[in-house]
Order: sequence, then C-alpha cells, then structure tokens
Amino acid sequence: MQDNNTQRIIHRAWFIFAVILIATLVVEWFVPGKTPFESSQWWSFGAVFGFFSCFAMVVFAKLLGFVLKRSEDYYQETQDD
Amino acid sequence: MIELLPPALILLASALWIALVPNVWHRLGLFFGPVLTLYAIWMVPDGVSLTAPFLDYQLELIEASPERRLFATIFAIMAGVGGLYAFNHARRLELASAFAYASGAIGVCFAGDLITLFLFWELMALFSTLVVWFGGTPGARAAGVRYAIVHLLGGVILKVGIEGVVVHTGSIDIQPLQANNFDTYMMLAGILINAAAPPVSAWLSDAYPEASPSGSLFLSAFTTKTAILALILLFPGTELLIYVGMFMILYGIIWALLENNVRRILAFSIVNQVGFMVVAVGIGTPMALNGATAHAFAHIIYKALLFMSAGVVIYHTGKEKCNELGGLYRTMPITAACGIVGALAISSFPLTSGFTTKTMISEAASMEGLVLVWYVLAAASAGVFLHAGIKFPWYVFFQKDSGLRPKDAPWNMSLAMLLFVAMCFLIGIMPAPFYELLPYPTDFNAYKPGKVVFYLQLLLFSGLAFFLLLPLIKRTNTLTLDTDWLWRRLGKSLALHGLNALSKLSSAFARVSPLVTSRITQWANASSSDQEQQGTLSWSIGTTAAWIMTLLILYIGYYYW
Repeated sequence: MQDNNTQRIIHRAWFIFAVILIATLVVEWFVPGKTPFESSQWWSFGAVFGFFSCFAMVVFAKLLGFVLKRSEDYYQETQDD
Repeated sequence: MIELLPPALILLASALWIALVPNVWHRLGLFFGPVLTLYAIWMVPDGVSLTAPFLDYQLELIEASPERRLFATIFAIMAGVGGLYAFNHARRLELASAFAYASGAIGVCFAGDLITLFLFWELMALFSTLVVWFGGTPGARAAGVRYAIVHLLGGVILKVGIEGVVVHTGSIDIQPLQANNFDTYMMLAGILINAAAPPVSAWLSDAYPEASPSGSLFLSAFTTKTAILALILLFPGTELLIYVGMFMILYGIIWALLENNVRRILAFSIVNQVGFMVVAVGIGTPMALNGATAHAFAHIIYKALLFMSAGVVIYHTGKEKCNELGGLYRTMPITAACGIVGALAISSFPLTSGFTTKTMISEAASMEGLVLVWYVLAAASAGVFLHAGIKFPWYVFFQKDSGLRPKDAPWNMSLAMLLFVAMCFLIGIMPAPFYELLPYPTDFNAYKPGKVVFYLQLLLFSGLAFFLLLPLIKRTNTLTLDTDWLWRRLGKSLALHGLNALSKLSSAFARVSPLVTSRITQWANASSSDQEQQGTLSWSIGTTAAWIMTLLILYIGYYYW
C-alpha cells in the first residue's frame, strides 16, 4: 500500500504533467506548429499523432507478445534436450 | 612525431601496453592512448596521406575527410571515457581488448581502400568477440560464439563483394557505388550485417547484454557506427536503405517494448537509432548525410550514458530485470540524473544532442518530399520516448520501491557520466560549432519555434500514452523470439535430427564393417571429450586475448611498414 505522502506526490506530479501538456497545446495558438506537409498542419497534430502512434505501437507489441513471448529459459531448455 | 603515426596504430599500441604492463602502470595507456590518438586524428590532413604497395595494388592506409575524422574522433573519445568508467572494475585484458576493438573502428574510419577497410573490419570482429566473452558467464561464452559466427559470416560476404568489385572494376578505392549487381549487393549485405539490419538484427540484442556492464558500454559504440560510416562512403543515396532503416526503427521499438532486461532494452534501441542513420544514408542528400554523421556522433554519447547508468545499477545490485528494480533514485541520484539525461537525449528532447541531430534527418526527408518517411520518423520519435526515454528510467529508478538501497556511482564512473552529460547538453544547446565539423556546409536551424512546439507535443503526449497504458506493458519474466530462433532452435533441431540419421546409418554400416565402427567410435569419443571441455577452455580467455593481440599488433606493425 502506498502511504498518503506518496499518493500526494503522485497526484501533484499528475497535476503538473497535465498543466505542461495543456500548455504545449495553448502555446500552439501563438506559435503555429511547424510541420512540412499540409496533412499535418492542424492544431494539436503533434499531440494527437504522438499519443495515437504510441497507443498503436503498445497495442501491436502486446498482440505480438502473445505469439512471440516465451519463458526466460526457453533456449536453456533446448540446450538441455 | 605523433602526427606521423596512424591513429589506429597508436590506440592499438596502447591496447598492448594495457595488456602487458603490470600493476597500475597499465592505466597510463587508458589515458594517454585515447589522448594521443585524438591528437593524431586531428593532425591527419584531408586526402590520402599514407600508402603502401601490396601485391599489384597501392593501399591507402590513411585517407581523411570530415566525416571520417568525426567518426574517428567520437570513437577515440568513447575509448577514453569508457576507460575512465571501467578501470576500477573491468579486467585489464578486457580493457585491452576493448581498446584494440576501438583501434579497429578508427582504422576503418581512415581506410582509403577496400583491402585496408576489410583488415580493420575483421580486427573489430575479433576483439569485439573477446569483449563479449569477457562477460565470463556460460551465457556470454555461448553468445560470443554466436556473435563470432554471424560476424565472420558477414566478413566472408563482405569479402566476396570486395573481391568481385576489385576483379570487375580493377579498383580498390573506397568510392560511392551503385547497388545493382551481385558484387555490390554482397558488399552492401556484409556491411548491413554489422549495422544489425534485418534479418540478422538479433545478434546485437543476443550478445551485447551478455558482456560485462563495461563490455556492453564499449560494444554499444563501434560496430554499428563503423557500418554507418561504410554506408555513407560506399552506398549514399541507395533507396533500399530507406526501407531497411524504417524496418529497423520500428523493430527496435516493438521488441524493446516487449523486453524485461534493461540492457536488452538498450540493445534494441541501438537497432532503432541506427535505423534512423540508415534511412538518412538512403536519402543520401547533403542534409541527410550530415544528419547521419551528426546523429551517429550524438548517439554514441547518449547511448554510452544509458549503458553507463545501467552498468552502475548492475554493478551495485547484481540485477538487470525491470521487474526486480525500482526506486533507486533515492540512493543513486547521480546515476539516475545521468540516465535521465541520456534518456531525454535519445528521445530527442529540445536542448539535448538528440534533438539537434535527429531532426536533421527528418528535415532531409521533408526536403525530398518523402511524406511516408517523415511520418514514420515522427512516429518513431514518439516511440523512442516510449521505449527508452521513459521506460528505462521509470522501471529502474522510479516505478516502485524495490527495497534495494545500493550506493551511487564511484567517482570515476560519475565523472565519465558527467562528461557525457555535458556533451549531450553542449551539442543540444550550442549546435553551431558542431555543425561546422559536418561533411557539408549547413545553415540548419533545429530551434524554429513551431518545430520545438511540435516535438514537445509529440514527446509529452507519448509520455501520457505510456503512463495510461502501463497495465498493458507490465513486465514479465519472458523473452521474445527473434530471427535467432532460426539458428538457436530450428537449426539445432535439424542438426540433431541429421546427427541421429547419421548415427543410424553408421549403425547399419557397422554391422557390415566392424573396423569402421571402431574408428567412428574413437572419433565420437574424441568429439564428446572436446564438448565436455567447452566450459573450461584449456587456455583462459585472457591468455587467448593476449596472444591474439600480440600477434596482430606485430602483423599490423609489419603491414604499415
């Protein structure tokens, strides 16, 4: 169980992180994002693209893991065969 | 006097000094070797400055250019800082092997012809194998054998290509080639094997984590980056490399996400980062080649920083699995801070070296109108933050209280890490002097406000994705199959079946000829006796290393003069 102090630190860290995330979005109103292609020149593109590309990679890795993950001694077992 | 000596030979001589000089005096070689080598590197003028006749050819033993000098410089710096980091823990002969390995890399940098390049290429393969073996565990010995087989095979493929090019063109010069025939494809394949390109990327994540922590540090720097230099010199603008590089980038991220072992995560991220450089060489424009060179330079620094940070943790806890670590920031603030800087740099956070170098590659893609490539690079930048930028420091230094209370890094390790932290920030905050050293003039500005905002959004929101998806990437005591399954499991299984079939055949034959049976039995007994001795080599690795080094240095000394 995490004590109250740890919980408070975690909540505070999340709050600061949220403020920073929002700040990067707000700043883009004043400094338009500089991306080279028209398809990426809309507000908050970096945020949306960053979040969803990571989401896709994690989900893909998770699915691949069902097929490719083995126990740590997988190759050791074959040595003992 | 020093400027008249080939830089690679100076470092090789210092390796011999480290190997042979007793007591603490060998440490002089750890300091003076890299320093004198650096001096010699910067004294070499552009163009060919040392030649020697060999058969009907005129070998160009030293040829300098800005990109060659820059690669050699970071290799020498890496050897020096690595020596500072490791001298308290690593065995003397391990350090000597690492220095000989680095001298091979520097020799490749200045090789003006294909024969000289091949000689130093194999020198690297030899001594890097020894560095893996100095891990000292049965796992390290087995991984070292697999590593040696892959690299010797890669060397043979490269040599076949070189022979073909030399025979068909009559030239041994190192110059840009078109990958459009058997010879050049073989050369390209031989180089790509060293770059850890598919389908043999697995050698890297198999071998590097099995070395000692300081061995992993040296291994992370040289082999893949000399391959990048070779690609820059021989195959710039080869379109195939763009696709190979993009595969490497995504492969590195996905496999690192599945991994639990800290050093293996970092090994996969080497493949990922080298993928960026391979893409850049494939684009082949001056901006892209500047990007590949600059990124290789920066990558060696921040990757070393990550391996150093992980190495301190492994030395002091004996653990390297994510699910066994956590909360170490309490007692290891310097190691944690340095690891975080390395993690930020590999993620190309603004103000770090990764930002001012990796964005050159994205810029090169956009300048050529390569939309898909640009999007993949952008997604990969977010993915790097995910798999290395946050995952490494989070699981090692934060996450949970593992109950471990190790001491922080000793002074020499701290100093080595802080030197590289300074270089990460120096190149990140004031990139202009560094850009001056690149092979092509550039007015690239990494810090356009809109671009900084874009990358901050990209990275920070990928961080958000990491924390929201933490339950999905919970660490487990597993490994992830890779293409090495083909030779570690399938190949072995086929070989065993083949041996069984052979055994049955010989039994059948035995019934016909008792004499032959007794010979085969004698042979089989001798073989099994050899196998039993595998765990206890009759010569220790150190003795073998010392002999190999002595003979090679004598040979190379003879080769130069």
